[in-house]
Amino acid sequence: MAEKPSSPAKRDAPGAPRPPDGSQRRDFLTRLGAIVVGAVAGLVPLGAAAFTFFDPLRKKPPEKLPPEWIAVAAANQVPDDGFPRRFEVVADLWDQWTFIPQQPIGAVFLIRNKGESKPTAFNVTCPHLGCAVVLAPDQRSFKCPCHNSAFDLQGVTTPDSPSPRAMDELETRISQNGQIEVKYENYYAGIKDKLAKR
Amino acid sequence: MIQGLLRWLDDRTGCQAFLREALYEHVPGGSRWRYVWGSTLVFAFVVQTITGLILWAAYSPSSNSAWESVYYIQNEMQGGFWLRGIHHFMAQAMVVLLALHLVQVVWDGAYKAPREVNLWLGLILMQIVLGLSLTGYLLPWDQKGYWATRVATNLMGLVPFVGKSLQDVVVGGKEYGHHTVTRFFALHAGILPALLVFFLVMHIAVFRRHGICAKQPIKRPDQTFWPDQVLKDGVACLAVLAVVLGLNWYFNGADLGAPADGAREYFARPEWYFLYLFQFLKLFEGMGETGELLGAIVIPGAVMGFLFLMPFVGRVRVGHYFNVAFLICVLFGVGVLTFLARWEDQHNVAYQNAVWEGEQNAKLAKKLATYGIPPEGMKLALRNNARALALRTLTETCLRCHTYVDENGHGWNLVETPPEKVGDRPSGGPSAPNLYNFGRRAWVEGLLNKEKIAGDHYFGRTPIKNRDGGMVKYITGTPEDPGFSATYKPEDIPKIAAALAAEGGFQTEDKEPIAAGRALLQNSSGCAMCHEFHGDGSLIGTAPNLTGWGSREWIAGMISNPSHQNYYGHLSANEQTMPAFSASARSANKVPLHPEVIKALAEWLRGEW
Repeated sequence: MAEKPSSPAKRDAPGAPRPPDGSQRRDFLTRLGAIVVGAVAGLVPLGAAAFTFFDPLRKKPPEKLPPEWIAVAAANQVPDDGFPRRFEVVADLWDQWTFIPQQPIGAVFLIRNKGESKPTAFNVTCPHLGCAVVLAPDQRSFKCPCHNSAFDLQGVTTPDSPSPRAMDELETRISQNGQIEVKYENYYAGIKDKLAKR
Repeated sequence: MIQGLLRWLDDRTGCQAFLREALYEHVPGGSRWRYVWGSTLVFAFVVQTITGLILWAAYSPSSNSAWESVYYIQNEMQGGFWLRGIHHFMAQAMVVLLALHLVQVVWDGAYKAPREVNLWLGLILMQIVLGLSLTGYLLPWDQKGYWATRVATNLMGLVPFVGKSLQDVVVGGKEYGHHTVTRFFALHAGILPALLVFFLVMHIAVFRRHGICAKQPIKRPDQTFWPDQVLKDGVACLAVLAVVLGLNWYFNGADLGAPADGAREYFARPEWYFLYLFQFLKLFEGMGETGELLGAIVIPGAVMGFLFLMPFVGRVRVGHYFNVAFLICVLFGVGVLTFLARWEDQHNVAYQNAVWEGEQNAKLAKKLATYGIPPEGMKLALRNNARALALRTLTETCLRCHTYVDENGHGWNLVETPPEKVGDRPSGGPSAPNLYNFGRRAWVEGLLNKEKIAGDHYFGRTPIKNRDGGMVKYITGTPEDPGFSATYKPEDIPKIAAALAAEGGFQTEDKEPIAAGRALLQNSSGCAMCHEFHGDGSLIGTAPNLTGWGSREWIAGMISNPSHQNYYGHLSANEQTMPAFSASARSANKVPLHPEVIKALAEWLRGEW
């Protein structure tokens, strides 16, 4: 914090360095050299730091992505009464260096309407800002406890809902051994488009 | 000798001139209390640095050790309760002090030429402090911080063009985990403090260049910073510290919720000083992406942008008054939105229930942590723990019909939703008794009270209410058949309650009323018309068996199979509303509860953990 300029008398003292007045070209080269050398010395570590810092933007190898189809419930756990039921999605999880086998990585609502063979699945993550949607107390709609986004049982946003899109529907199928399987995927929140986090 | 040493040092460093420069700053018009805010902020930052460094010495940033290390600091380390408390509450005090400093600067016109740059430096410092708050909120890696951060980082993703990449870089990937913690920690303890120091040095240097913006007109003689203003600053800093310590004492330390779990929903709320932004977002319902962009980025950005432009606005006539009015309006709006957010939450039963559930989970996690935390961390330790599963069953199953509400209304409530159409029946609401205090004297005394038994806290919403010869009609009585009051006097009720509480092991003192109550319970023209109570077993199957009522075994048996002869086997099928939960009694397509979970539930209801 040397905001006080050093005594000005000293600057003009005999023997003190003076502004260069030698050959123009030599002077230019010295300045250029100082700038280039300084910039390289400064930018290399800065670049190395930034390079590693932006690692999350690199594409991850595909084996670290969650498996495509995940069994979440037995078919008879979801009767065709049109009532949403919540199930955890259990799969192997990578958290950087940690491998956690068979760990809940999210949850889905499964709804099977009268006469349907396989249920509809919704990711519980609110497409507004990523909280978890719950079944409203009246059990006739979904509601996000954070900013009051609301969705009907088809996952469609109600008019007074701040969410920019409907709940994220996931593909489902019934496996041969009678399990309901879901293609589990997470999506970016807050935008109109359903953009998968991959 | 010492003087000689000092002179030697001063010759080589110029420290005396520096000290004089620092202490003998000119204060036109003398010291004033209104000049203390900047100093209190510097003080707060120094306190945060000191406490933060020592917290750092014990903090372990990873998704399976962050909560654990914070738990250890808070509950096991010497003075950790106060150290973390000071850091936690000083951070909040800092936000308040920032607001006061800003108001004082704008009110006094201290942003006008030639001090424009200093206002901008101050506003940048404000952003840095808010960034420190935001990043610090996540570091305990508890449910509260985790879910609030999910929202905050998703908001980051809304920034046009670079949002998604920005979000991924800050989160450290697509999912929240180790690298979210390490990155937030690097921001919180390294990058942001370094930036703060950099801008603070400039802020102070520029401030000293222009000197204090003295309150006009100057009526009193000038003074120097030392000692008059230093004394005032010192008193203010001490007051801030006292408030912080008082808050830590009043709130019983900084909060630590249950460990973060992305698969376990939580009602995300930001720290209180961001609540206005949270509430502001709710105003943009039905506007989709545009609304969010407006509410989260454009409008707050415009307000902040205007603060930067204040020096220019201040140049025109009445510009200064406009600035002051603008700032007051913004602060008023912030206050109103904060109040609204609080008010809505206080009237939101689902939110209150979730808060209660969060408290229960946090209590359990801390309790289990005292037995030692396994290396994979508390979240996974909770995953298959019988007690954790019991808590989950409680909120997901039991408390769909039952309530759990104490005398103050705190706990788990169920409210009725009014019908949407004419002719619809209201949905929701409790349909089974309040489980709070079950097995204890107060519960029985309420049950035997003719005003209460047909109410919502007991059997008022169950089919038993209308059963002829049933408990509710017996207690309430009719003019023709007074029922309970024909056999018992009001003063018998506490005795019966004492005797029943003793069955569950709750009421072990006061031998006299217990003995009296036992005799009353065995009165064959009263309770023992229907209820078995340490008898020959002839009454089993006509009403719940009161032998051992409220004990762990009794409750576990009730949860396992309410239709058993010992409980409600005497009711007709459509009067039996509570399902069985044990593997042997549960209907085929429903998942039964593990016996350990049933036992844990019974223990929880008895308040044993």
